[in-house]
Amino acid sequence: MSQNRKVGNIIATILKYAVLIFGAVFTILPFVWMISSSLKTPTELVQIPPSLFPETPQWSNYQEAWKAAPFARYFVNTLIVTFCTTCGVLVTTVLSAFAFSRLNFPGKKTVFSLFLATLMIPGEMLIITNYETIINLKWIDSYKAMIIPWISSAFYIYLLTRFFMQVPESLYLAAKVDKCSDFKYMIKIMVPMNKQAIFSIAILNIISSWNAFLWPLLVTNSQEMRVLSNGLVRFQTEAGSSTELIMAASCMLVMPIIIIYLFLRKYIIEGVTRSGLKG
Amino acid sequence: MDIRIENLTKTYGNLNAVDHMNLRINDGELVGLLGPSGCGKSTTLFMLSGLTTPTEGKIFFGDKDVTSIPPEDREIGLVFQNYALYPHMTVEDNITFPLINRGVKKAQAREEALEIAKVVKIDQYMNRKPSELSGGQQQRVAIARALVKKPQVLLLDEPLSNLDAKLRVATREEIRRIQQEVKITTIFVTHDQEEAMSISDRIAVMKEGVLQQYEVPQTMYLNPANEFVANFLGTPEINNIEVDVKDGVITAGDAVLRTGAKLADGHYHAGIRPESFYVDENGISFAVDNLRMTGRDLLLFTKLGQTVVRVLVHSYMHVAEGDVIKASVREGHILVFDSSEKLIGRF
Amino acid sequence: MDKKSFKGYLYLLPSIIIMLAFTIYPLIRAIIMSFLGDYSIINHGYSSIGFDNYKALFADPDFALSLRNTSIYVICVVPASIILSLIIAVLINSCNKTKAFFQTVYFLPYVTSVIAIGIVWRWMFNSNYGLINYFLGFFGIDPIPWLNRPEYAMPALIIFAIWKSMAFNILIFLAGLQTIPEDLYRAARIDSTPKLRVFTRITVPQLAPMIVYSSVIGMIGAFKVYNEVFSLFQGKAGPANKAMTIVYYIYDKFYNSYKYGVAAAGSVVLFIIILVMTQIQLRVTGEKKKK
Repeated sequence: MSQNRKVGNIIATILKYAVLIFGAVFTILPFVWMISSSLKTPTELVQIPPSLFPETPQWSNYQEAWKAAPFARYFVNTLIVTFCTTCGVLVTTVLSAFAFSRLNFPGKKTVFSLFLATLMIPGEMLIITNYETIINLKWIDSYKAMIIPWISSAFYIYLLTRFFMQVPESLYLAAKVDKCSDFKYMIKIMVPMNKQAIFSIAILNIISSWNAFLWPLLVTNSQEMRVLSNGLVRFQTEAGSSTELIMAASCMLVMPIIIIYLFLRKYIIEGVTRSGLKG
Repeated sequence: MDIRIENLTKTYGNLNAVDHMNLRINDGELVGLLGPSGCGKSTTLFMLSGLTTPTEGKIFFGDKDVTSIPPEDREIGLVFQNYALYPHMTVEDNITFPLINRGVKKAQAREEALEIAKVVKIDQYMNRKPSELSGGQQQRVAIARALVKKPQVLLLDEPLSNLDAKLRVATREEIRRIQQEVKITTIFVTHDQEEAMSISDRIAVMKEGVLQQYEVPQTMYLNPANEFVANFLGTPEINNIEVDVKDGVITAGDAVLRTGAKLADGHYHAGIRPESFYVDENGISFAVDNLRMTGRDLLLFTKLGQTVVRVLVHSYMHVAEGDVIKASVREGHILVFDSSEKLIGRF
Repeated sequence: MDKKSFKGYLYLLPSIIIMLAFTIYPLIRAIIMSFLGDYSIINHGYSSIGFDNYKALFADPDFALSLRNTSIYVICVVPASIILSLIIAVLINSCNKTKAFFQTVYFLPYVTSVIAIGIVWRWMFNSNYGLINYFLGFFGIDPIPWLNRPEYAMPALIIFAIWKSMAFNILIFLAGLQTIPEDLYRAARIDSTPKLRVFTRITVPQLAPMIVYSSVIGMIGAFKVYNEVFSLFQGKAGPANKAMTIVYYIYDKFYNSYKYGVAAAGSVVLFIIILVMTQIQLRVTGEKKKK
């Protein structure tokens, strides 16, 4: 009886890991294949059976891709947009979350509900008119156009407000008795106490800004203003059949975020989980 | 600094959280605001601090009317129930925080912080974070932070409720010691009558927003103003008994409790504390239904007429369930109340 | 306005400005635009006011196709992703040492650019040299022209979408699994309950709120699918428009055909679909709270 159970348990464990490993391979296969393809020669790419590892890694593919399109420029643009958007988001989110969680003013509940209600609006619906607005403002082909519409997020405000509300009211009262102004309280108490949540919001925003595709595509015309994701698509059309170069270019877009993810996954996973469970 | 509260009232909707309260606290006194939850004691404290604005009435610190002065300018120190320490700052940064907000130079602030930390005996933990301290130590940091700006009045909201039983006794002695050392007028809120009685110079008992009695602990215990105060003070709780008086004889059921009482004939509520009984060969017979050992004392459950009565005797007394003991009530320990629950007299 | 309320709004000012300019205003404007015939965003002119755009929209076979495709996409992707994610999450949760590792691996697709990884999938779906057809060859399956033949466009898109969407679901389920009291499992073990029964009678009911939440979020996301289509079919809607989705349709009308009114009308329809989904979610989570 116990012998049977033991054998059963071992089989169950083996099955479990078989499924998990199969799933894990399925999950990372595109990444592995991207890297592997980016280091192959054109002949190796079309060889049957395909090899997982190239015979000699063709690092020159990256050089070639880098030179074939102004990727350096795309990189800088993406960095500028991501950095500015994230800073903007942090400032507006902290200010708003503080107002909603600690300050009292007439209409607070109504305004908060309004913020929440905007979460139901699909962003896809807004793009048409926002595009019109950008044209009217003559912002086409500028960093402003890529940054300003995204420097405030009702979702992050909602998330941080929930965190701020968990800070006991008595800390605010104590600070008041201790002659601490509201602004100083926000900077010296609320922000450091919630630095992990704020950090998570920053990383999540970095990821979404970095990966943004459609909006930057719409509001930019010139090559000088293009961001990486747009540049990649453009390159894909231009490079045609040079798959190894396209894969190298894809790597350039994906790798920075994967590196951030591998180092800071704790904050990312926690941020997504929290927002998921609370949303 | 002496404090005067005049007609202090706070209304929430149509509920009077505090109802026309008058109180006078002398300089250097330690006063306990005592009452069950929701009696308005914390509201009173927060009005004293300035964090809550009164609906009506005035508060004077000395001769100065502080009713409309904001909390930061009232020269008060306030300690919260959960201490409200800033978790990301060290003990030292917590204590210097109020000073630096007032523009004191960093070096000076650190010096003053160390000085007060020595008084509350936490000077060896200056570089720790609050989470690395025990509850009692956190409490003392909170007191140090309240005292460092040399306030005129110290206010403590339920200062002991977050501590475990053993620490509670030690900490309340510590609060008393610090208060005596700094010589500061102190008001603290509590729902624990033992706590209030053990360290207060005077106690203010509140019920449903109304001040019931304001007295020195011992006087209040022996001479409660009404049935509520009598019931609220003391463990085990006072026995509530229905008594009849005829020709100066007080009886409960068949038992005669007292003769020669100067009291009009009639039916009354009475209160007798469990420790007010003493063993007496000539006393009333009590059948022991049940007993409970508490350590120093033995608590007997018996009946007087139909009412269950708790009687406290020394724990070395030999008594078992089913035994009958004879006991009387100490002179002056029968508290008799009138129909409006006010104390008429002690017999 | 007194000083206190002024202060509150001062803190909110940046967010309110952005929200009014880029969320509230465009929402109202898009609704208005949907009723303006032949609207031009260059000179703001229009030829008529009324339901012309909606009539055109519902008369357009492409829109009907996009609704149909999006529905098929939602019906295939969401349940498949939820079921697979649930199994994976339960298995990961039962690991001790390897839990963090698997969690990290399985979450990877969530953080990566759909555009970049879609291009990789496009390469893996390649009918001649693609990895997928190579693997299928082991099972004696002839090479499938995934991206070139209309009947395979949807399956390719769905496979890619399931791969992408599982990451978030697994994460939410793993978090949910943490909240199930260990005592329930201990009690089940004492009663020697079979493992499958533990899964169906304890784990799934306890996770029900997360499953509902993930399903609704997944459905909302699936109704808005666009980047996946764009990257997999290189900016097209697949062979013979077989992968035309609602959002693709809207953008196509807006960006390529300059039919702003029709695009706006399409986006209003999308908005209504999302609103219904959100209401369902609020209803369900509201009931959960009541319990």
